[in-house]
Amino acid sequence: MVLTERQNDALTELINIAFARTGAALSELTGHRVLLDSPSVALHLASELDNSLSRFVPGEVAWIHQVFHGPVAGDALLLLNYEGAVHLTELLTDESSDNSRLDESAREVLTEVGNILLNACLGVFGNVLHVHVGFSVPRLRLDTIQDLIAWLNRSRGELRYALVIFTRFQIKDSQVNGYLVLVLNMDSFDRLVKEIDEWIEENERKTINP
Amino acid sequence: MPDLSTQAEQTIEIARMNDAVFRWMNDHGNQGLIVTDEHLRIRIWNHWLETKTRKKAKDIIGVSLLDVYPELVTRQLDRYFHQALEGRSNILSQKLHRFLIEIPASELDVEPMRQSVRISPLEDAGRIIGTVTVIDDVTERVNREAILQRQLAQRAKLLESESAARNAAEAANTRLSHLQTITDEAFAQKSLNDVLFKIVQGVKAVLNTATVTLLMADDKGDLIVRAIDGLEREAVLGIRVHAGTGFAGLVANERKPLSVKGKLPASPLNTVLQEHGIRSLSGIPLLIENHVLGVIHVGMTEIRTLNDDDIRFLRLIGDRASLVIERARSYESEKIARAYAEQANRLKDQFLATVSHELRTPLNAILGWARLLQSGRIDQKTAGHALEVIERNAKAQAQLIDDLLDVSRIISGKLRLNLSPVETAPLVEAALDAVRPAADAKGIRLSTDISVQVGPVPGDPDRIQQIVWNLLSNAIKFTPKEGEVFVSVNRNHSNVEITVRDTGQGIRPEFLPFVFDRFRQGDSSVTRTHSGLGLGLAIVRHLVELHGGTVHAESPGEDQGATFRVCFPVLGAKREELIEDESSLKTNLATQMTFEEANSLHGLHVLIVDDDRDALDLLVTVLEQCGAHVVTAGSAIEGLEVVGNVKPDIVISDIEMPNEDGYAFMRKLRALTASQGGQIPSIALTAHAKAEDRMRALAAGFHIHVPKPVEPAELLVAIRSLRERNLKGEAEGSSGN
Repeated sequence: MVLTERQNDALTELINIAFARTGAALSELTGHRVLLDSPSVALHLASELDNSLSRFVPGEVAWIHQVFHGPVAGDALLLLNYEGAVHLTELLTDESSDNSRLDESAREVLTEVGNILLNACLGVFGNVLHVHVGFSVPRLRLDTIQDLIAWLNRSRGELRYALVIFTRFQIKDSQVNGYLVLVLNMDSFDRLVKEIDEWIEENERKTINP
Repeated sequence: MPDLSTQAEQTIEIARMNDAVFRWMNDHGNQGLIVTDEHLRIRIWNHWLETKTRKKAKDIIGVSLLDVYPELVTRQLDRYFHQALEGRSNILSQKLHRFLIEIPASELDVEPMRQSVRISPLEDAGRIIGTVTVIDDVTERVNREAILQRQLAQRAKLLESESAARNAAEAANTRLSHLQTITDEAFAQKSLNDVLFKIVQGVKAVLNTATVTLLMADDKGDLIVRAIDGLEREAVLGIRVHAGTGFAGLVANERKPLSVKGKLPASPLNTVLQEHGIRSLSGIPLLIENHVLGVIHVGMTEIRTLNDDDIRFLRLIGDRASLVIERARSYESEKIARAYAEQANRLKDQFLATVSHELRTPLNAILGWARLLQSGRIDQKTAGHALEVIERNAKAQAQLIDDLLDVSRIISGKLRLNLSPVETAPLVEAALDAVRPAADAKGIRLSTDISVQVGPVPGDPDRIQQIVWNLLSNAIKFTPKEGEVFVSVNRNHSNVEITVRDTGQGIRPEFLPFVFDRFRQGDSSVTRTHSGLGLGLAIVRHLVELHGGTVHAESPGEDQGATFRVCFPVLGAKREELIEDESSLKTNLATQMTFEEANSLHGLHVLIVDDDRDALDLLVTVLEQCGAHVVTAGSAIEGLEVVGNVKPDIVISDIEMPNEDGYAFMRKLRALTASQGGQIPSIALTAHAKAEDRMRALAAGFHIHVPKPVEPAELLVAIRSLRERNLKGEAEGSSGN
């Protein structure tokens, strides 16, 4: 399956809205200006994620995972490399530790940041696309990227798609790169694409007859 | 079909149990639990919260959480509850929020309890009916983490310093082994140059600087580049850095490691280094027992100094290098000294063999002919020849012995010159006269070009004559029969140049530099055809140099003749005047003026002061024969009386007299006015012939100093020159009037 250019544009637009909200939320929370932007969106088969993501980091990654359910269901993940995760917590909490280690407190920070970001994205999808989405409590895990992908594809006989959204946090002249990944099964993905098409139509109608 | 009442009972039973479990949890749980309805009104406020917040459930049940804790709104935490009502769960990080509800961590703590909080929707049958909030006290965990963090930081620091120490130790080890290698390699070299190059190469390999330069100090303390790595050797080897100048001079002066960066101190070496981009130098002195042997310095293209480790390494290298260099140097100088001693010994052996041969040759003739004479078996004519041969050989031997004595004096530094202004032309003529018989005997033509007025030179006439005589005899000796010897005397700028040129066997180019060395003859083989000790030219050079002159030998090659050129500096005009008196005297003497020729003191009044009667008589006789009027005095007092009465033209006085000596006499005489005779020209006669005696006499007021025993001719010349001076002075005086 491939997204049309219009669908891709619409998706990028939705993600931009979600990222703007996340940035605003993080700015409020930390007192620093936090910007999020996404220069690229790509669609992959979940089973082929390895190839596209393994270039990101050779070692351990920190990932915040949330299961969402409803008419569109799947797994949502925020992926950071280990150093990026430590750096991001340091930037957000104004602390700097001599050792680059994610302790329990740092993990909580990451979990909350992941929760805010994932909620914003899925919330935007829900609100804009008029579908209700429920969420599980987010969890943070540390794994190699291979283990993460193996876990995502574990015991699922169905074909799943992964929307890979490059994510760049900009805080205090520093930036931390990561990926937001939404993994959907065929039904959910069809539903998402359908809702996107409707949203495009709705917007075009609004543009023609305001 | 199950009993309905039983089912209801069961349901009630389960509900009761759930309630009990919930109550137990409410009472015993160590977490805070808040349950609200959809309007965020508090429905459950558990025991833990009651204890910690001191707010009783019964007081706040049914009140909105946001009313109980209005700061939740100002801290923007209310949105998490609203999100929960929309179905979203949140975990609040203690790091970002510290706590949900402000509670002291303990009774003693000022700091509030750190809380990890989870806010979730409360669902019932697919519908959200409220929120559930669970609060965990993570204060202890946070403190633990902080301690752990500190420990980890300390450990990291410790590890870092440990690894730094290990690295330093390893580096030191490596350096040590480098040091050993450099020293070993340097030690393995035999020649000093190789030692020096090994050292600079080793240092460069370890310190990795752009250049490494090694300079060695000479006797004057100047530093000369002897080895370099990093630049072409030709560019810097041999460059001299004068003592105390440049960077190397500074290091040698200070005797400790120094560094400069940016602008290097001016020196010929630094100019070259700067041209090659060197902007910083660090150097150490090479010391042996606090004596500066040299300097090693390293150059860098960056503006920086070596670190302490590198400097320490350089110092260690320096300490060891000094020892190695000293060893190599003593080995080399020992080798040179040995070779020199061997050569000198060889030359001496050769010379002794020559001396022995040369001394025996005339003896053979003398002894042989003497025996023949003793035997009485030879006739009158042969006897005459025998005596002639004996005389000639005795003279030759006398000459050999004179030469040997001269050389001995030269070696012991006892050869002294009696310097006075001398005209060279008459001396050359005299020497020519002396060698003429020998030249005639070989049919050698003597030609001359002698300028008479070339100006006086400060010299010892006997020795100048000896110089010319030696050169002439040498020329005649080495010139074959029917050859030619040419002599010239000329003025060449401020020099008098005496040239002796022959058409003899010449000098091989390779021997030219040694031609004036002692104990050397061009041909030192046993079958050499020319007799002599080979001392003549060595004596010539020494005598010429004692006169402040120079001597050069030239020869186009073998069988092409040789030219010897002697230069004496002409006496300066001022100095000439100072000792004018003696100059005319000596010049006249040198021309061998005879007693009769000087016979013209007619009308001259002369006073002679001497306590020795015999000496007086002799002088009176001589002077009166020349037409002078002579008055005598036996003491200084008597002499002064005579001056008062007679007013002599000239006073001659002995120095050594009882009571008042000649110096005192002269001082008293000079104390008189001109009309009383205070300016009468005077001559000192004394047995003291040393230069300082002469100076003392002149200082006392004498005009001329004539050593005893007095040669009549010499005295006449002295008197005549004084009279001429007096006449000249009077003439000038009258023209001045």
